[in-house]
Amino acid sequence: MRLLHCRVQNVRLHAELALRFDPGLTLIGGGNESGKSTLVEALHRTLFLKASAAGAPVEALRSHLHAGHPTVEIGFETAADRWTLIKRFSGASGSATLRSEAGELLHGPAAEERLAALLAVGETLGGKQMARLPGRWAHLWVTQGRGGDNPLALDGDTYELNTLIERLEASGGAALQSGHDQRVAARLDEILAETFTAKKGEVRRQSALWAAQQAAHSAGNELEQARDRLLCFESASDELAQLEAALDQLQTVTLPERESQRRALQRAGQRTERLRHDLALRSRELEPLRLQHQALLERSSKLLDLSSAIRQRQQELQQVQASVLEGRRQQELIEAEQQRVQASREALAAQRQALEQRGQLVSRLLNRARLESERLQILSTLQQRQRQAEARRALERQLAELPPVGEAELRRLRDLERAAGEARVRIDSLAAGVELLRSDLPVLVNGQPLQPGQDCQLTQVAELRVGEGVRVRISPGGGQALAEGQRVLLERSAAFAAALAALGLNDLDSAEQLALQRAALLQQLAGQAAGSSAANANLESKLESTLEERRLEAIALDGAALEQELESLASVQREEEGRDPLPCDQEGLDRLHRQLQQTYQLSIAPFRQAEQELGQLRQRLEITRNGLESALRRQAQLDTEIQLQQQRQLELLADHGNAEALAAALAASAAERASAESGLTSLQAELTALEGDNGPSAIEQLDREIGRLQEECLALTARRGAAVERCEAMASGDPYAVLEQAQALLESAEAELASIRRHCDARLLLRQLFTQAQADLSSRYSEPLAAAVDAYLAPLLADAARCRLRFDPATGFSGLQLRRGDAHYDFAALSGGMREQLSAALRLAMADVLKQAHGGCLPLVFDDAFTNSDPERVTGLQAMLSTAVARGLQVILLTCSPADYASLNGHQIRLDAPGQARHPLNP
Amino acid sequence: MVRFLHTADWQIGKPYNRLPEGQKRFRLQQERLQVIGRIAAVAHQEQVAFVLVAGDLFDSPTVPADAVLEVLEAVGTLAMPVLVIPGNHDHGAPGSVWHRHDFLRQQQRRAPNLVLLLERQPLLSEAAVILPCPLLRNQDSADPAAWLHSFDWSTLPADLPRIVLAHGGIQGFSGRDYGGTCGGDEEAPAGAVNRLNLAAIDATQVDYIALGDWHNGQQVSPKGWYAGTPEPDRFDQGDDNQRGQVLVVEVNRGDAPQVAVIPTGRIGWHSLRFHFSADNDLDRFERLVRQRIADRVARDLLRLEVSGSLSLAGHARWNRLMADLRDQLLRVRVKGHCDQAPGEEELAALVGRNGDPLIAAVAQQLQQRLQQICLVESPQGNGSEAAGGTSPDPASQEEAAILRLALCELHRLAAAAEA
Repeated sequence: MRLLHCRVQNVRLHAELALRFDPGLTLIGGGNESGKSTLVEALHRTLFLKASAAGAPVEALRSHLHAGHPTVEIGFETAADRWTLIKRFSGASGSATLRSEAGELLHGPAAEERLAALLAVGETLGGKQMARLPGRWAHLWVTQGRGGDNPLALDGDTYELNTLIERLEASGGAALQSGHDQRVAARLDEILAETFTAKKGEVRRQSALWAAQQAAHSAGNELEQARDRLLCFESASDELAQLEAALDQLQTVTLPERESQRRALQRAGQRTERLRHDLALRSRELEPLRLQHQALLERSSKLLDLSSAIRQRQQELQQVQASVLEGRRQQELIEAEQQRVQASREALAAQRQALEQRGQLVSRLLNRARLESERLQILSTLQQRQRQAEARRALERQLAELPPVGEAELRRLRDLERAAGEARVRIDSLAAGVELLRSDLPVLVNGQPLQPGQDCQLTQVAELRVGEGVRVRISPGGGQALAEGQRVLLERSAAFAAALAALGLNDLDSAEQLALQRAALLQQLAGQAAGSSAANANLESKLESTLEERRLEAIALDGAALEQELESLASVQREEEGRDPLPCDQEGLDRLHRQLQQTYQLSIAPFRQAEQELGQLRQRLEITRNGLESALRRQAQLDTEIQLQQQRQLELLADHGNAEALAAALAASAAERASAESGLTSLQAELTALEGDNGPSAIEQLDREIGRLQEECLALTARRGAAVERCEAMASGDPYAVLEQAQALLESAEAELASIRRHCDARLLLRQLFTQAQADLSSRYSEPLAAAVDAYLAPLLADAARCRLRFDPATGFSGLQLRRGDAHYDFAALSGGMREQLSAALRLAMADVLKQAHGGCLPLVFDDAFTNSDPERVTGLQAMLSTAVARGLQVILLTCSPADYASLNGHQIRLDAPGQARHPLNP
Repeated sequence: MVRFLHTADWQIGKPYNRLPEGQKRFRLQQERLQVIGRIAAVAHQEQVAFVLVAGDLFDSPTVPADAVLEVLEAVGTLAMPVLVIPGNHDHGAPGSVWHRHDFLRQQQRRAPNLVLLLERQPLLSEAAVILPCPLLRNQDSADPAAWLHSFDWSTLPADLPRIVLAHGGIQGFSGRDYGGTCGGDEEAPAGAVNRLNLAAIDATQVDYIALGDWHNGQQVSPKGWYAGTPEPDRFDQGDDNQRGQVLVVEVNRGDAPQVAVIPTGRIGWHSLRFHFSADNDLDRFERLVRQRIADRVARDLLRLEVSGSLSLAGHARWNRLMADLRDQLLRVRVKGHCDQAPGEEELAALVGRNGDPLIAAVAQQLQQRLQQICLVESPQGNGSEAAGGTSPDPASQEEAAILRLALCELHRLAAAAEA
């Protein structure tokens, strides 16, 4: 289809615009508002809108400047013919006329229908369909501002997808899946959907595969159960076998064994009984023999005992007699010695007594001498103490006579004197001094003359007279203070004088002297007190004196007692003085006393020795006497015993005559007894051997065991019955057959499952291959189209850019991308200019493919479609468009800057140039 | 000289649980009972003195009471002693069928000629000495014939033939031989339990060893024979299987036994391995099956081990064939997979869909992957039965199966979408 011309009347700003289109390239230039887009819209609506259509798209064509309905005439050619289409858009009354050069003339709906067929769009649009208007030839006609749109974003119907596919197949030998293909694929999906879920591909419940899986699973379970049942039967059977074996063992072996044991035991019991009887008999027979033998043995041993006893006693008697003689001799010796020692002891005792008396005398005398000396000493002490007390009393009297001037009094006097002095000094400091240096006139102060070289102190207002004519009043400084000072001085002087008078003193010096005197006296008194024996207190010395007086009294008493004792010893004294005169002094007496004590001490040891010796002798004598007496008693006792035993010996031998006869009788009795005893022992051994474990208790034990075994038999029999029943119950289902059946079932279920699974696998494989083949097919469509796009883009892009797109039979082409370098960029990610160029190239490539369905040509309209493209690219764009024209396409380019495309070889029109609008239709 | 019949492994009461159809299961169960009648006929015809059943008369120690009754009735028809020992399937433990009241009561009434030997001690008859080695436990690691190892043979009559009656595997057969040959249809291979040591029995002192447990008849020593089962109950493993027979034995004290094999089996158990590499292999397969089974109905069981794949059309034919066989036979058990994969034309129709580029592309992908796996697995295609050679990696085999299945599914979906 190729546009030839157009005439636009009453369309917006165009009152009438007639244009002729170049078969190849038509360049329509014009500034803004020159009506370029209006022209394109008018052509587009005329081709695709019903003339009778009403609504916004039609209203938009209406002109406010020019009266009359929008009317458009378009001339175009198809492969077969040339056509003129005239549409007047006047709402419901709109008219459409289509006329061919061949003479065909159509009006109204017939014209519309024919037009749609010629344009291959199915129908012209009206009413509600008008929404589809922008989509019509949107892949071929680029309206203003849509230059960067992706044509593949359009609906497949819009860009004639099916035609595109058909043409691609026709040109490139590619073939899209057929309807038959689709039906098979769909059927395959259906079949698979019966078995598998769409989302996860899981096996669907109740599907054949599922059922087979279930069947196989349950067959497996049944097989397990059958195995278990068979095992149960076999174990029951084993148990039965064991029970039978146990029962058999019991009944045929164990029980008979025990019973025969029992019989043997019973026999042994009877024999034991007999043996016991024999044994008792023999035992009874043995008893008298044993007694007789015992008696003989006893008698014989008694005789022997007696003989030895007599011998012993006789020996003992001899010894006793010897000891009696010896005892007597000893006694005599000791008695003589005792007499000797007694005499010597008595001499010693007399000597001791004389010594004692002398000692006592000397001791008393000595005591008397000591008492006398002590008495004299005490008396002298008392006298000395009296003297000391008198001296002190004299000192104390002297002290009392002195006025009481102590340290305190003295200090107070001094303070008073100093205060008076201070008051005087203060008055002197306030006083005015007057000194007469030289005068030829008399000078009087307060009437008192003052001599040259003399001075005076004035403490109060004074009158100074010099001669007669001069009288000067002098007032010392201080005013009131001076008077106050004088008052204080008077007070203090009076106080000092009073203090002195109170002590009876004239001045301070005499007071100090008196104080010194007092201190000396006090010191002296203190020194005397320290010198006296008990130091400080009279009371204490008095107490001591009292004690000493009492002691004197005691001494007097002691002396009296001593005198009495001395009187009792007067005879001794006389005797003593007769021999040797006694010393009178204490020292002599003392020495004599010590001498007597030593002599007495020396006499003690011999006396005690004599006493000790005498005691020992007495003891020895006592022992010797006792021993002698006991020996004499034993001697008598032994005599008697020997007589008795000899008597008994004779009695014992009386029955047998003599000892030899007795020995023979004893030997015979022993032999008889030994033979009887050995017989008994052998019987006993036999009995013991028999009794052993086989006593009555063994039989009882065996009886119990037999009873237990019989019970066990009964129990086993019962259990066997139960086991037999169980076996039979289990065998009734023929578990072997059931197992075999279950195995057969499982095998067939597994075979069935395998077969179904294999069918499913085959179908899954088919679907996988179908999907893969569909993907392969799609590339056969997308690749030629992409190659065509690349060919158009080649002049624009220096590098070998390649575009890529996808094809899906269901949704059509998509995924337009451009490869720059190693990366592929989505259409949306490209720059505005690149989008325009790629979009144009794709449109051209699509038109290239589609043109064969439209009589070898299709018109493409680009209304300001390259506004974002660089000026440098314009040359490339021109080359692209030229290629399109060369390939038989019609290109109508509307632009604000026609100069850019001036070099293009084509028909150029300027809408804004005056007169251009009335371009002749037929050049 | 004594003449007797040696049989074993009747396995009465075998449930044949793996047969899905109850009627067919019953058929097989009945056949196991009816073979007793045929044994009776042989016994009478051959005029034997007695019948020895060497264990596993019943299939389990808990066989149902009705099966017991039927057995006893059938045994009762033999007018001669039938000497029975328990085997591993019907061991003589307490609680097992042999001790049950119903058995004991009914045996007295219906089959007084049945002599159950539960003790390991010689049984002296007028004609022979029987040395029974019954299995008395389910899992007894001891040799049930151990009592004969140190037996005082002088206690036996010197002129009567001595016959050992035992059940179990024997030393000398490896476990694999034993299990593999006898394993058949899902039978767990016997372990080391109840293993008999025949070498330990003084060979000069016995004249015949009547063995049971191994379902194929075979002589295993100069005097030892497995009778095999009188009616096969498992799929055979090879052509030399001796199954479905009884042995009629003549023996003298000190002489080698004379053994005659008399067939008694009726049901055919067949095993077949087949690899499909092209659709026309189906013809060959049909011929093979016909050779084995002819046109017999309801008397055969077939185990198929298949591999390879068929075109979708071929696979449809295979499925029809299988359905027919399932009707005709008692059981068709298929191991392995006969995969379906679009044939070359079918594949070309998928891949060459210019109008449906998706389907074509997917089909091409699947085909390429499949080819890669096939190239790795078998560089040269080998298309006949039993040609497996190196066993393929199960994981990649599974993957290939899934790929084929996916192709089939795609084919099916495409056809359905067109319709």
